Amino acid sequence: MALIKIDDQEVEIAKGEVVINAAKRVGIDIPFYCYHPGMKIVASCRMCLVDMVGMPKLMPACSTTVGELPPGKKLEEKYDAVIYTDNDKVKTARRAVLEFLLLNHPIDCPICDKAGECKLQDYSYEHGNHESRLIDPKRIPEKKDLGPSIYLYTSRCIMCSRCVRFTEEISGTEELKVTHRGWHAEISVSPGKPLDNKMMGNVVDLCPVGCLIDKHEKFEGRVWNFVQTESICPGCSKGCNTVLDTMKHQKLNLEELVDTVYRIRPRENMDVNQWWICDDGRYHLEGDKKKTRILVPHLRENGALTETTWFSAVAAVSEKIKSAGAGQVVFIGSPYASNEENYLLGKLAKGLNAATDVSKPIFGDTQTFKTDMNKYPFTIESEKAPNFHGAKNALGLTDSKIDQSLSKKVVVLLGSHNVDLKSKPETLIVIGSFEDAVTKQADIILPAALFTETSGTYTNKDGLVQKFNKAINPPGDSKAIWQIMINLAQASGQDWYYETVGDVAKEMIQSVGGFKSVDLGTLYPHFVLQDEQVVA
Amino acid sequence: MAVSVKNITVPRGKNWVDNTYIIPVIKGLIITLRHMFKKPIVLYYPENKKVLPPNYRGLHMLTRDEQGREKCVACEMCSTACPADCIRIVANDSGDVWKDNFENREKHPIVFEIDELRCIFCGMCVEACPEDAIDMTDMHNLADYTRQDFIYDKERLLGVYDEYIKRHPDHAKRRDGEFKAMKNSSYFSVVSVENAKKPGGH
Repeated sequence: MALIKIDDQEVEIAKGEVVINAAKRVGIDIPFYCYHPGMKIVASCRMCLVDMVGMPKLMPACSTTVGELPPGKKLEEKYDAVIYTDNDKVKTARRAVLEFLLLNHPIDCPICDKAGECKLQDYSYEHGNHESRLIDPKRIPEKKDLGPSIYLYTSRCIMCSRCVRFTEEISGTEELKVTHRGWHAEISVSPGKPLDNKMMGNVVDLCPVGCLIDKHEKFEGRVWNFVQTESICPGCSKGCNTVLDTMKHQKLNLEELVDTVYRIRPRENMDVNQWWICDDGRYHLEGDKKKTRILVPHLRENGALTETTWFSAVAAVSEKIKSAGAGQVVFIGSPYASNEENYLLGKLAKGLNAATDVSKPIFGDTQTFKTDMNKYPFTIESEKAPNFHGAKNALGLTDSKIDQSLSKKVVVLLGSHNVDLKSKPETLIVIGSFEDAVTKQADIILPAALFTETSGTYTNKDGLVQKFNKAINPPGDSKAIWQIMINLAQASGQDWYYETVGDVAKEMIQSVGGFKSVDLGTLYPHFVLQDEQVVA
Repeated sequence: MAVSVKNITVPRGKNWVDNTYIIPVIKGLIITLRHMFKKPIVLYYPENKKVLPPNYRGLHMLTRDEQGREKCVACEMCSTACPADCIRIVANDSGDVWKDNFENREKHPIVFEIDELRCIFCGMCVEACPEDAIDMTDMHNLADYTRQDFIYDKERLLGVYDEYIKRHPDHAKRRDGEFKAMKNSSYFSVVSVENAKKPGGH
């Protein structure tokens, strides 16, 4: 360990650690574009130049490491390095670097989707020159179509080469390359080989400026209007940490609030997904847009499904269950629903002396992105459901026996994913969100909220329990599944009620064996706060 | 509550002339008579209209460029700056038709609505606009039958511009890029009153 002084602060720096990280630890933000902790260091943007005592020139903080000096040669008698990040020399250098970066920049912030989260904007305001001394016309090259979902606005590029390194080091697909030389340098793809892999969406997040733009999100909304919600990707059993960007905007002529999830971004979690998510997760909601959402409860009357109210639909469910008899009812949980929802389904079934089961997840291909340079290979799991392990745990089952269960008289299905009905049960009750082959045969449909519209926890393939949060309100009359379970329980004469989904989690963690090791406080911090208040 | 009685004496004049108040009445009439021969300061409103200064903050307009396209690129700066939250914009790709060589305009609004009833006419949207696309006119006599009619959509706001340009052809020059030059010269200092009819006397 070496002791260094950055501005006025002392910080210990490990062998091989770069100065920019050590500075961040003591709250000094050194501006940078090309540096990324997950990728190789190139120090090409020159934005992070700092003044190091004893060095003839300014040093890039992202690639400079510090070793220990012999005892007699320490600077100021105790430091191994003295670094200034804010003196006039550094400020002049930053201003000069920004002037070069902005030399041919089109400054089309009004039409650029990155505006608001653009580092070029932020640093120009903070460190820049605020005017251009260029008298010649700017060189503005055309935008390029890199592949099925990415545009490259060549003129906005600052050549940090983060995207190029990503395709070389993380995805290993090597589509992107720097072509031409000098100030004609551009990011390009080879002819006939577009940027097309399952990780390509990450280059858009990596781009510090608005050069790489996602076709799905182009002109969808301005980033400063977005509200961030922490969530978990439901695409596969890996359980990637994500951020949902939502926006509440008012329709002037309707006076109603419309909220939509605009994009899904990765959230850093070194144990699960590091900095990345795959495109299956990123564009997860694109597929849902094509399906028809069930917005109101439906009841089959005279052979046709008709819209009805929650009251009559829930009453019909409890009546059907009562008339069928104890041995003929089965409640089938879902690997697509949260732990809490499956737990309540099990509790409801237990109260009615009914059997429980869980439907099987959809299985797809496993894809691993592995390169020599990447410490953490990224795997897209084959099990395309977020919570199969958690659902089994919450219901106390070891495996799915859905084929046997579907032969019972009354079947209550939680979600209709991957359910293959060979023959229709006498009564089929579906708690689902989208119209499909199963819901068409159902006798009663109760509309359920999606993962963006409720809170809960998923257990990933490694047994890690992670919480996702409610970002938007459920559309129409649809309700969160845990609320539907409470309604069904009360209609069938069981006396339990939960104020929030956190109360369900608290009871589940205390009573179900599989969740004993889960720390409630990390998932639902308000419970810890409550306990502290009681003590005080 | 008890009623208290207070006796007051009315001040009397020194003589009978003071007591009849004739002199103050004549003094007042002189002021009235003097104003009869002065230039009136009121207007016969609907027939004669006051010419308002160019920086008057009235109804909004969406301006057009030389080719008649809306200048707005749907950057949502105005709706962000708006303290009354009365602007709603939905952006869309304008395709290759709208693409200039230097001035890249591939984004434009498909919905641009201003709720003029909610608007407080502060002019922040005009200040925030980086494209000089929204401006305010001297139109202030907004009247309509329903609240819905006060939500001005894009076509209506562009129509306001067309009408405004017809009435103020000198502002068309300003729209053509001479804004700065005019701002430095007589643009903001001189208000033309020649077009207005001279109001008649009593």
